[in-house]
Amino acid sequence: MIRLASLFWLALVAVTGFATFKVKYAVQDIEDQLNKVRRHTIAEQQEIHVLRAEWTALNQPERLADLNRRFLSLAAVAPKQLQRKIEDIPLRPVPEPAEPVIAAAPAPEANPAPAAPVDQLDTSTVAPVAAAAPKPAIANLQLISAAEAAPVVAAQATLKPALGKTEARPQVAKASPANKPRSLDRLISDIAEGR
Amino acid sequence: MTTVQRLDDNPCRPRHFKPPPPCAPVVADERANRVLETCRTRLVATAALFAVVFAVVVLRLAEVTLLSGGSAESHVGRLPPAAPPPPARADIVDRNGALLATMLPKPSLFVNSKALLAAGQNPDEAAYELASVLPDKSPGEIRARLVSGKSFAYVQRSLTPRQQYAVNRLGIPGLDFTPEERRFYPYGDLASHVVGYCGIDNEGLAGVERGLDASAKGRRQPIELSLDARVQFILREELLKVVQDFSAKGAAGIIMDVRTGEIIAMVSLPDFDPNKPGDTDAGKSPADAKERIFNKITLGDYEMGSVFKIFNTAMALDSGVTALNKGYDASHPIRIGRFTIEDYHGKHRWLSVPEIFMYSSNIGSAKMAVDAGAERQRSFLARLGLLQPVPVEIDEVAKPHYPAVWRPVNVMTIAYGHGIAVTPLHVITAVSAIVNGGVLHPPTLRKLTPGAVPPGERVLSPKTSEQMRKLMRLVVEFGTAKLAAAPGYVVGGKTGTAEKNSGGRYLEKKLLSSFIGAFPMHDPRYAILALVDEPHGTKQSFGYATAGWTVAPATSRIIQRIAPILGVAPVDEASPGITQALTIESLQGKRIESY
Repeated sequence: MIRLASLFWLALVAVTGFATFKVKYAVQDIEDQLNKVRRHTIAEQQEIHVLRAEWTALNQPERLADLNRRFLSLAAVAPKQLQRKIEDIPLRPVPEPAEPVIAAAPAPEANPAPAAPVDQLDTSTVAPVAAAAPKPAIANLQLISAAEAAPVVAAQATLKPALGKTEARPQVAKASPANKPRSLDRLISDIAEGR
Repeated sequence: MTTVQRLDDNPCRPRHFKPPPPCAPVVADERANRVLETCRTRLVATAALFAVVFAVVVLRLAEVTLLSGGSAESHVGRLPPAAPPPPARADIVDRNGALLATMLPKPSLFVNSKALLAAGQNPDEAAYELASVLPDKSPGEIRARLVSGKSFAYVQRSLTPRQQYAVNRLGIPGLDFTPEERRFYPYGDLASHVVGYCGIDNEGLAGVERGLDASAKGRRQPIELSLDARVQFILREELLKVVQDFSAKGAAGIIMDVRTGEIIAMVSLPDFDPNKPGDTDAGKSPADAKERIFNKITLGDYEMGSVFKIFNTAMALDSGVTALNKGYDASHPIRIGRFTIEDYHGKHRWLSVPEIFMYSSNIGSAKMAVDAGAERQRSFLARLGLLQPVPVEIDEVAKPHYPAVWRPVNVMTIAYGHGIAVTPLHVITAVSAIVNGGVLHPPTLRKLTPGAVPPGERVLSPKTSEQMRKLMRLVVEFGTAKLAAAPGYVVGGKTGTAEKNSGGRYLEKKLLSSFIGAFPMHDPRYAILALVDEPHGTKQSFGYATAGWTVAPATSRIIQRIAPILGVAPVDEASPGITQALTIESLQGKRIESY
């Protein structure tokens, strides 16, 4: 009986000792890792510091003025440009629901007339998705990225939501002579101009 | 002993050990039993204690090993956040956080020649490669260091990070870096006189670096200055243009927030690059370097000339000696002793106080000062802080020069700014107090918390301040500073063109033209002072080198450029609210002749 108890305790001591050392080494490892990360952090911070100094040196007003002269020729704000405060400007009347401007962008060969072939609509795999999507703009953006990947499909694919959604808006399509699928920048500038 | 009774049965009993004679069995008495019981209880208690402790250890071990108890992340918080050691000097930033001065690691490259040669590196090749990334040194020079045979020889001091990277990329054995830190001023000469510069051991030698040396050392938080680098740039650019246009010796300018005394920009030309303060341009003398380091704003004592009429008029109005509807006879020059006081833009008639100010009449001002008296004049100037050094965070401040004994002739000349020499910083601080409603705030280069109004000292009644604003506006509208007008910003101010005093004589050709103004005049926010040292007239200025033709137009350009940056909205100057606030009743209905 005593033997059994001793054995049990001895085993427990062995297990405990083993576990202790295991934990110890694990902690050491983690601590090493932590120190490494801390050293790394400090090195990065120092690098950021140097980069900040460099960034400031690159932003010397003199240099910016020179760059402006060479590339932008922006002038200082004249007082007459500042005659009103922002509160003085009336709010723009609430516009109509957003038009899917982009949808009609590419595909110069596409006929924007409402009588566009319906079978194209059906055969397209993308069209149902676009039609089902609640927000045409998002659907179009997705289409654009797809279009960039596969320019051949682009003309067809991008046309569809336009037809599916905007039968009554042929003028949007007319206003876009672009040949290539549009980039986001174009989209933004078009929206800015279109209003 | 209780065990004795069983000794007989012990087979291991030594033979010589005789058993005790048989006798009655020893019966443990009550006392012995009690002791035995206590011992056993104690033993059990101790064992239990050990068992509990052991169990705790076991449980905790089981938790951390088997159940991966507790996450390492929860302990990270106990450690201080990882941060590099604090820099030798704190960064200096402007009010928007743009770096004006910082510490950069500038390691020095050295070579262990023995290791390099032992590694079998071809020194010619290595020298050639090094020379390609260190443009300051020739391959021959570098080669000499590489083959010196010493275990330590500098190849180049103070490398840029990029150069260090390039050297590392070459992978030449035997090269190493010593870590060193140097002060670096990313904006170069933009704010050289404000920020100052440091010596080789990173000790502050000038400007804020010197003035705030103690607080800059070992501090982690950057020192925030009141300066705005953008405004500073505009001021400097326009002043450089003035210096160039009028082939002047130098120029200086300050812009101050009149409500707080914060210095927004401060330029003194010619200036220097604090990254290499001792350097002069090729072919220039060391005297030139000294001239560049000289801060005209805080160290230059100047007889400011007509600008002082602001203080003179304010003194006369505030003390009630005169009023806006009164006047003085300025038809004849004043002769006193060997002096003759004349008017530059003489009208030769009776002039009202606004006219005296507007046409900058020396005669009228002198008479006004005589009316007020020496004691009043002196105490008023002292109250404005014009008779002691300006308290500011820069150590290089000059003591004003003024007569020890205030004689009648001094009273007269001081009225129009001669016979007393103060620094431009004095002038703008005092003028700020005069236009802001009459509260003098000591100038500061440190950023104050936005919205907080620092303590100030009332030196003037609000009514006088309002009258002075009207008078200063009048000068820009009709007087000598018409070219300082910046449409929309309601500029007001006063010009001053003083002949420089050299060895007791005034030199007619050596002028100090200055303009001090504030805007917008109906509710002043910023004061601006611009002065140019020894300008020469040009065709554009019709040969004039006076303030109205040199610094006034520059001030107009500066205000138009900085006002949008400083958030001053332009207003319609002809709107009834503003004209009403700035009209002088006594002049209403009268024809104001241009000077």
